[in-house]
Amino acid sequence: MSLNNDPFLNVSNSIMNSYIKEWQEKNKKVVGHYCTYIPEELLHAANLLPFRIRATGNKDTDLADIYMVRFTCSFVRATLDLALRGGYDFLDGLFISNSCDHTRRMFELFDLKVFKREGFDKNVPRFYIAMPHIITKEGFEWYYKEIEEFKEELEETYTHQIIPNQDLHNSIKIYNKNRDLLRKIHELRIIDTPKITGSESLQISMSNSSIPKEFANQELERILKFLKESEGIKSKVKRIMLVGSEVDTTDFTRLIEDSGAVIVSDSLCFGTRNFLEDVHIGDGNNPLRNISRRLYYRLSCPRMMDDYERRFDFLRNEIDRANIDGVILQRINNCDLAGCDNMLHSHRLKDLEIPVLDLDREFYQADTTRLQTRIEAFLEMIK
Amino acid sequence: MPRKTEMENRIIPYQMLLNIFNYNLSDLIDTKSDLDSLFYGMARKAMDWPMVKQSSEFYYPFLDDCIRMAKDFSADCFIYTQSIACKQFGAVPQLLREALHDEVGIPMLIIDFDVGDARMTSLKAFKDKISMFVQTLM
Repeated sequence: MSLNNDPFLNVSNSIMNSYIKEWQEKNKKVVGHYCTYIPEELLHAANLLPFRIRATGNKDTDLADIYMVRFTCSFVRATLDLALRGGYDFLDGLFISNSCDHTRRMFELFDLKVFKREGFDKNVPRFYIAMPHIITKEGFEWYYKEIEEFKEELEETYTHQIIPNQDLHNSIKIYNKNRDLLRKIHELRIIDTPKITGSESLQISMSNSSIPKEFANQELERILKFLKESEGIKSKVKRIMLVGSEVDTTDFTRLIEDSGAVIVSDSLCFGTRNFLEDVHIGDGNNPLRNISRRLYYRLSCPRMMDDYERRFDFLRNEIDRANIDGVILQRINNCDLAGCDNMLHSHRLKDLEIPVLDLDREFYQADTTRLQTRIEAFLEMIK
Repeated sequence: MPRKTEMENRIIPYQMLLNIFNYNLSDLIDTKSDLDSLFYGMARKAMDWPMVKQSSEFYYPFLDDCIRMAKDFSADCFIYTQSIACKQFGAVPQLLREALHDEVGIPMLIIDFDVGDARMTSLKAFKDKISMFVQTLM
């Protein structure tokens, strides 16, 4: 038995899936979002199915290149391209935050060019959440106000009634359970004989963000049980931590793992950062504030300023915990955020004599042989 | 838009109406009411500062402003320079080009450049592109 061809993992191979179809057949709404700073628990409590926008499988950016200059990130262009081709026509809502300067402009481009294009006459509500770039008390109050306003928008647009605290509590419990299951799976990934590869973990994470969490939790429980009983990877392969820009295709992770390595941990959008912390229920008086608090104060992504040390501490701890042999830093060309963090990581890791490889790449798998040569040389270099 | 050089004035027959640094349409600061109004006005002014306003706002007011200015000044064309480092504006050129075409009926030239590295688009390349564009219009 293996996770090869597992139906849950296969959900990650495409954008549309049977869960979405079933959901919409019941006249329920599916909403897209680009970033983990959008409060999914709130969307769940509003009886919406959150779908994390990705461009898995799309290797073209031709249509998007008309609207975005070639110096913007190819992940964002690939998602826009997919949307312009109708790949996201199933969405009943789109929520965007200023995660980075590339994705934030998807608000206008989806508005003017995707949802108003000829032949598409569905009304797709949109909402923009402005996130502060620094982590301060005042910044949190700003963010919380934005989330409160977002909740009112959802109530006005979708639920037509106030979302009760009890519903938010229920959603928090489901999402906390989801994160707990992901953490347990991750623990089986970092052990000496990893029970799961980095590519499989990535697939689990992508599938998890594409279907209702109730089903996802059932699937994760099944996979966890299966992994506990499995033998794990016993061969002597290099243990790698993968860090940097968005990865939503296994083409890249497989390139690394097929070169004689296993990615036992990561710091990626579709990775560990999603499940490290839970929403604290506290006295239960203000679940929305608790949801916002988790999102705002959790381990940040590189879009947050003045928080680099916390991100590097996570790397160091994970390197020790997962017994990492080397770190692969990767960034999609023109990704300013990962570019800055990777440069800092690179110097700090070298100071600590931890082998590190810094790669620039495109979102879609391009110049594979060049990347493969560099990865193989790096793995050979690690003692 | 970079400053139009004396050379350009002599060799290219066009007059530049506005650039992003003199395009500042903010209200005056209210200095006659209370202190809060004064600080509010200063904050508003700071947020309305050229480039700050356009890079932190949605594109809609920028598109509207450009269309209005093109109409007000009866512009014959629009030249848009896109710095490679400016991701905030990396998605506006084509939207603006289409808006100007649809609303005002004028063409727009886009020039990619790097503020810190002339090798990407040299001054000569700038001149050639603008010169060819203007001559095509004439």
